[in-house]
Amino acid sequence: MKLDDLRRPTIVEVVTPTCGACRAMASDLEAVAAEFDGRVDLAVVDAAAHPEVAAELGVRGTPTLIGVRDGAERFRTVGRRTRRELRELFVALAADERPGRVGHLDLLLRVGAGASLVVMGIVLGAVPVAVVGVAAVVVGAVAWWRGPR
Amino acid sequence: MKDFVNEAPWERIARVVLGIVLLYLGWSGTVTGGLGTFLKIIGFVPLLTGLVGWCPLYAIFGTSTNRKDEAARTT
Repeated sequence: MKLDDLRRPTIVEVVTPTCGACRAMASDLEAVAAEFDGRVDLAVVDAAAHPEVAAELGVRGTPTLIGVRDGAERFRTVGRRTRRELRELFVALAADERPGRVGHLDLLLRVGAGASLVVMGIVLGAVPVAVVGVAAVVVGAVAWWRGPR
Repeated sequence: MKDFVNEAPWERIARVVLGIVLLYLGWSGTVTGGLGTFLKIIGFVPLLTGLVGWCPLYAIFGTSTNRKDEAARTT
């Protein structure tokens, strides 16, 4: 399997038969994939049966989920994910966004509004406003620094 | 707390701006008395819901103004 052959939005799941986390996540992944049937495809690779494919994909652990769109990898996660997290991955891929990463709007709102609130709080002597402003700036900056999950 | 952003980008900006305006009116003393105190508190509601992008009322009624998420769900 080559990622650049996948032109449609596709989640590539790499698993092994002995992977407990893979089996635990299987029903949730199947349910979410069914919700997005026709919009996001699901491709499953058995790393034990096809180790060369797993190696080519750079997979080092299972389960690995690789989000692919227009032949390019958009994101990659390793480890079990909850159904809610899986839906976020599918939604992000369908909407051509990177999941878990703070977008420009979020950064603008949190840091920009936060800074405005801090200034306003200081000028007006409104401590709660300044505190909320600081919190907004910190949350926005930390989320941006963490990047995609 | 939230499963997804259920507010459109324009609405989030509007909520944040409204929240800042309400908080300014209350905390600056432009509006005094009980109304001023009310604005000091209520201003945080649109501000925080705009920053987070999630409205609890939208979630309760199962609606959303975030067309991008709806498009991803329905197209």
